[in-house]
Amino acid sequence: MRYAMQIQLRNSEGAVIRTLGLVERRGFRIETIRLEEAQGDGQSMELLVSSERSGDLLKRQLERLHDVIWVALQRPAAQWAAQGGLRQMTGSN
Amino acid sequence: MSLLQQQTEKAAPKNGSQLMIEALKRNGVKHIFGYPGGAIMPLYDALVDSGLQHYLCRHEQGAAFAADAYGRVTRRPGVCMATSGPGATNLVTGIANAYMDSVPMIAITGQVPSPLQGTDAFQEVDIFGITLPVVKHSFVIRDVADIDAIVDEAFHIACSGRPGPVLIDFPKDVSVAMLEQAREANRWHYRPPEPDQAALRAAEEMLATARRPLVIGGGGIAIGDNVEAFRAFIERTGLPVTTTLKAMGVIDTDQEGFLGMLGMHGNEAANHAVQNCDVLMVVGGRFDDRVTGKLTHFAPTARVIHMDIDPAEVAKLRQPDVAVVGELAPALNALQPAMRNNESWGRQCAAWRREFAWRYDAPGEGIYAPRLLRDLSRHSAQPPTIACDVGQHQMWVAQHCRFNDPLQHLTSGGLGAMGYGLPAAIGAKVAKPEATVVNVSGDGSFMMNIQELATLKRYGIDVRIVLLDNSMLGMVRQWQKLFFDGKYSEVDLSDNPDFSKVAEAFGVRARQIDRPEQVEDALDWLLGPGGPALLHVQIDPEENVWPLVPPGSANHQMMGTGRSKQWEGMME
Repeated sequence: MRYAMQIQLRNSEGAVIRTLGLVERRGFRIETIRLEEAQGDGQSMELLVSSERSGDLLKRQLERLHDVIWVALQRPAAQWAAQGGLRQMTGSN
Repeated sequence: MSLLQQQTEKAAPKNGSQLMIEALKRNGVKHIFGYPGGAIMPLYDALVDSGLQHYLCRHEQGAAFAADAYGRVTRRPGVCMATSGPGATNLVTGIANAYMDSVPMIAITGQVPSPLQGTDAFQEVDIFGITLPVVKHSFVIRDVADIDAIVDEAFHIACSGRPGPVLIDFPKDVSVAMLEQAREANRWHYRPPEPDQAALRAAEEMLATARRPLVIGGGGIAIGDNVEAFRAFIERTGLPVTTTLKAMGVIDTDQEGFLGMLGMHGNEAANHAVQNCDVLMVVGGRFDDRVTGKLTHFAPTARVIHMDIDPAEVAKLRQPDVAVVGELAPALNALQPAMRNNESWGRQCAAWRREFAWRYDAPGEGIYAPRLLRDLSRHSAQPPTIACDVGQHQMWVAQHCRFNDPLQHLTSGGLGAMGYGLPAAIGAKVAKPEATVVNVSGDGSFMMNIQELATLKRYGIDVRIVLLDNSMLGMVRQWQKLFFDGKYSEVDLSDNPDFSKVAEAFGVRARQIDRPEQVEDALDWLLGPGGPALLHVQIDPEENVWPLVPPGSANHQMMGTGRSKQWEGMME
């Protein structure tokens, strides 16, 4: 199963690597990644991941990271990709 | 103190290390376990005359394990600290141990000065990066102005919700920098979710309609101080109870209705009850593989109620029918199911309990370790606190010792770290000086942190040690015998040192026994007056832990069932 995720990160040292490390360690393959400074503070991350495991569970595991402000999970990813993928998701060019 | 003195003191500029000490004290710290070195020298300088009691362990891993046990016993973070590089990496096993067992801990590491970071400087390691998978959170302090806020936040994170270890990496330049103005930070405050009322009602409904209900008590009951609420719930519902390794003592293990520990080395009564129940309520447990055996065959006929403070534990391994997420005590207190009369199930559980009660009439001329441990924990009316290591003796402790408080049982459950026991006993005794603290160890585990005998001696920490010596890595030998065709690989420890002489060389009195008739007198000696002591017990190298659920099997498919010697006879 493929999942698209939006993750809002706090402006804290190690937030990106901590988040990506968790995603891989919990059994998800990162296929696409996009990262940008969030408006205001922190960073905004968008991921396309795949795994046999539950995306809901990954979402909850990410949510307990202190660095993570919120997580949005979209699936199935195919539908999301058809809509234009990462760029479409954020409305950026 | 005069006003002038007060003003002078207030105005005296402070460096980062002094601020760190103040922040620790403000968060209630009284004791620290650690080991000094280059990059953390300024903090050790500020420690002098600070009022904090520092225990110099003789290896950083010992300091981390001591802090872990201190955290378990006090439910406040134990603090350990070490220098950069090897000091920091030596803490890692202890930090991982705290992470796996959800123990509050603060680990402070020295770090090379900021300008040298990233240059492969002497004793530089990226401890922040190394520990990322095994901490609840971590910080690098980049500015002296942030110390107050970071330390306060670290303590809050370590204790709130599901507890865990927090690492604070403290570069040397920051630790000597003078503070001009502390930075105000937005204090983050975590509150666990309130238990969902609909979920509570659904749980009540499931319990009320159950014919074969069962409760598994998990480690979260002990870690989160939910023991009273759990006991009250069990008392008013009359539900039969089994517990995981980490929850031994959440109800008195001698209590009628307690089925013993479940899982790989659990009591058969507990495993049969789990495999046959129709409603299974798991309180603060996480369906560890050592608990469930083959997951798809675990509690196959049960609808599951899962109660946990951590939303990420729900459906991680077993999809529950009802999940109650939040603090356990209020949720348990809110549960008032109108239980139906399940008399025949109660009778069945009681029958299993009788049928599979441990027996101590094992044949053999040597000392039977389970019997010795049973007697050790029942030597006084109040069971001692037992900190054990990992291996066969650890399972025997869980099977045969009495506990009426989960804080009496300190064990490396999730990580399974040999070498935990002795430093954990030290941490527990420092935290609870009034408790009788016994380290039960094996000859393999004991050698992993044997240097902590020096810590016992130095501070006169009154820990008593039972060293069960089978001259083997017993658990590995048992598995090699059962699952690797008896081909033994690197498990022979018959060239162990003379442990009594080693203890005496450290200044700890010792005694050695090898015959059953010596046990009673030896336990009197060990637990009597006289301070730290080691009882070296020679046991049969061939003894195994029974029963056992083989890896990949369901929990009711236990080897060595009923009579351990019977099975061993079949194996020969």
